[in-house]
Amino acid sequence: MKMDGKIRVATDAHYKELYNNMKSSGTVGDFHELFFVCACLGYRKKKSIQVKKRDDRFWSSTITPPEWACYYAMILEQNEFDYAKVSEDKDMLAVIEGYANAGIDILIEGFLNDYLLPISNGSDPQLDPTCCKELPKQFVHFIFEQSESETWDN
Amino acid sequence: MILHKMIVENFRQFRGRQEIEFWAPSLPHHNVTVVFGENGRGKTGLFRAIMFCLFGERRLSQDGDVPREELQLVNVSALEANTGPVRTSVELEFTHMGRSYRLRRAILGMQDGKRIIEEDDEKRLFVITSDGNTLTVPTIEIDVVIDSILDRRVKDYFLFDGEKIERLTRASIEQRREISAGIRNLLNVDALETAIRAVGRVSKALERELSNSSHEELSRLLKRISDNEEEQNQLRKRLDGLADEIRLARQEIDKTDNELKKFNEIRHLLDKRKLLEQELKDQEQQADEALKEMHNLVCKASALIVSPTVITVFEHIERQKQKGEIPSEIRRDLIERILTDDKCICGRDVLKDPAAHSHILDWQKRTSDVTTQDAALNLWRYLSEVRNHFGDDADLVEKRLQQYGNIRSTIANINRSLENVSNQIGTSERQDATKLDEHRKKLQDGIITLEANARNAQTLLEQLKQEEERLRALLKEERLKVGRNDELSRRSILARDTQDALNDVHDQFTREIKQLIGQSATQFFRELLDKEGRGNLRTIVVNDDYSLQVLDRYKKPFLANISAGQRQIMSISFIAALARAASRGGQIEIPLFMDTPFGRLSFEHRQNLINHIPTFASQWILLATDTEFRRQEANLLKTSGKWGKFFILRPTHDGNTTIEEQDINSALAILRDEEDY
Repeated sequence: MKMDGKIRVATDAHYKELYNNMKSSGTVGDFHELFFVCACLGYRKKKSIQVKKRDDRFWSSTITPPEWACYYAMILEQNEFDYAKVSEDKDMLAVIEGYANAGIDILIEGFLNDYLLPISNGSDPQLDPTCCKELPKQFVHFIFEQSESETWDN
Repeated sequence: MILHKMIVENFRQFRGRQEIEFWAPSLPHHNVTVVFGENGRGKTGLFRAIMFCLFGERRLSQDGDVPREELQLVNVSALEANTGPVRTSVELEFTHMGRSYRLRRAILGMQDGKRIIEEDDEKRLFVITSDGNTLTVPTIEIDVVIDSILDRRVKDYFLFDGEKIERLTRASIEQRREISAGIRNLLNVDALETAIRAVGRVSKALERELSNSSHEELSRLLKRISDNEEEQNQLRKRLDGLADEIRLARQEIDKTDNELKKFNEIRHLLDKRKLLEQELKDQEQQADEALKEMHNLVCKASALIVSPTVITVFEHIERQKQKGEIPSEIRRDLIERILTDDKCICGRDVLKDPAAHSHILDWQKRTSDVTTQDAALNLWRYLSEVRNHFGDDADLVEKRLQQYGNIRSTIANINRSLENVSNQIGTSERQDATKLDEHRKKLQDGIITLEANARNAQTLLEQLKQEEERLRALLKEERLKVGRNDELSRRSILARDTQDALNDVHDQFTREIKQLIGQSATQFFRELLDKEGRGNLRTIVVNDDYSLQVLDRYKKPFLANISAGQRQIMSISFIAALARAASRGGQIEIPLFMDTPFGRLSFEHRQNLINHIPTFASQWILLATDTEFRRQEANLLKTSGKWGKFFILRPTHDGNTTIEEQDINSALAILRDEEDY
């Protein structure tokens, strides 16, 4: 629990474009913010998917203390408050990467689908720049709705 | 630059030769001049005279699309009274950095039937040296000398219309460019930018050469980087083109509106439409600003998703704390030693007492090492903070979403009203009016498409920049892998590194300057704001994209919510900060020449401007009407001890204007009180 800033946090290479698009469209300020949203969604749905093709996305130094605190809380709750599970930040972030990787699927399925270019033959998801004008607002609205949703854990 | 005197001859409303003295050598510290006149008396004409004399400009930024024939400079009465050409001239006397200058610019006006023709006549600049000699500056060098004193690209920052200057706070692409250009020009970073471009060209040429003779993968990467750069250049050109097209379409709309105004029966509808469009534009800008600030809410809203987890873990650690498990009262190392030695600190053999032994084992389970305990306590503190904010964060997110929704619903209402008014205009009995209106509608639809294209191009450009960064990182790795070390490769790396280093210097310098300007603008802002504004608004920030932002006392962006008056104060603070940075922190040796300075300001704001501007600007010239410069303002200015000159613009029987100097005390007798209105 050192909030180690020297770790490379990865996402699946499949979502690289989407991460870039979300940042350049101003929907999120930086990669760690989108990663945090996805991790929260994945954890809340109790879904984790291992990252297949690791692609370094950002340095852990960009993670803010409240985000770290939430990550530690997730791992502690999941492991019945075993502090040993959060003693190594690198190991802990590897678990969080799994939640974020599942969370981005939830995000696409529940919200981003309407804003993406048509996906064919397993191509990487990309935002359609022609319909992104209101995306920052709709995105916050979606997250807020999720926080109020009663239908989790199923 | 300190303006001393201006002599106008047959210029606009000013018939014959008339002069105005902005600064009296006998009163060097009285640096404020007030020119007072009702609307239409020629205040803006004086503003125009300065612009014409210094830069040869006949059109002011506020003229928009007014036809050139309506902007003639020659005095019409003089022209009617003469059979031949009339000479129109403006002469300015000023000092700069201890040197005195006299600049004169003249044109010849002629009547050609109903048309007035104006031709450039004379342009002369004299420099008076310290020994009293007068030197004539060669004509071709005059503009260069004037630009070195006050660069024409930044003149609008110091010679401006008070009511329009608030546009600096509206963050359209055009305004961001304006601010960026202002900062760069004032700080003389042009030379550095030229060097960066030159090194960039060398680097590109070397990379091209290298890609022809390189290892396959290197060559492929270099080609991709080159294509990426080319695409970025194309996009930048496209963005410039789109900005020009939008500007031209707006000008065409203004022109169409002027044509439509000829139809009297729809004139009031046109005025109504103009107002509604302005309101729509303001609301759209507010919506854009609100959208830009949305991403600040992402993390707050996301934390709410895991709020049950945060609360559960917080409460667990809290219970551990209450039970004394964290921080533990029993040292783990001590218990481990007892268990290893099988001896208590009192010397008893613990194995012989099973109850004591099991008790110690229980303690061992409850204790943890010191590092973990400290970390758990820290986590408890962070979780406590996150948990305490849940309520406020949820309220804030809801409030911002609601505010945005309100703006959107206002926009929808305005659009409905606009459609209504446009329908009424479109169904006018005059066919030509209907046609013009259809043309106007097409132009407006065109602007919406152009703006959407500009947004998409900007997004693509950002993506390409990120891609270039990634490709360059790959190139670096590949070079290390291949281990190429020949002369060409070394030169290419050196050129690229030099370009990167220069870019770093440039970025760091502009970043620091932006920060400095932000700090300085904040200082001016706090001095100039009224009490209420000071309570709410804290900091001005110059963003990376050169847009301006103001933060409230919670350090949250607040620009979307401030009033037009506060925007004006914010713009003036930014200008003052810019000038301070340009004069390397000293007093600003540039006059602040303000037309309609107080129109939108509350009395407290006016009071603050009057008390503070004369202390940081070397000269302040105000062109004010009777509704904004009243006895109250005059009394304040007199008390400040900075007021040097007062002029009144009076109408003459033939529709012209004379400039009359008045004593400051008599000004107080002429001016009216607020209750007189």
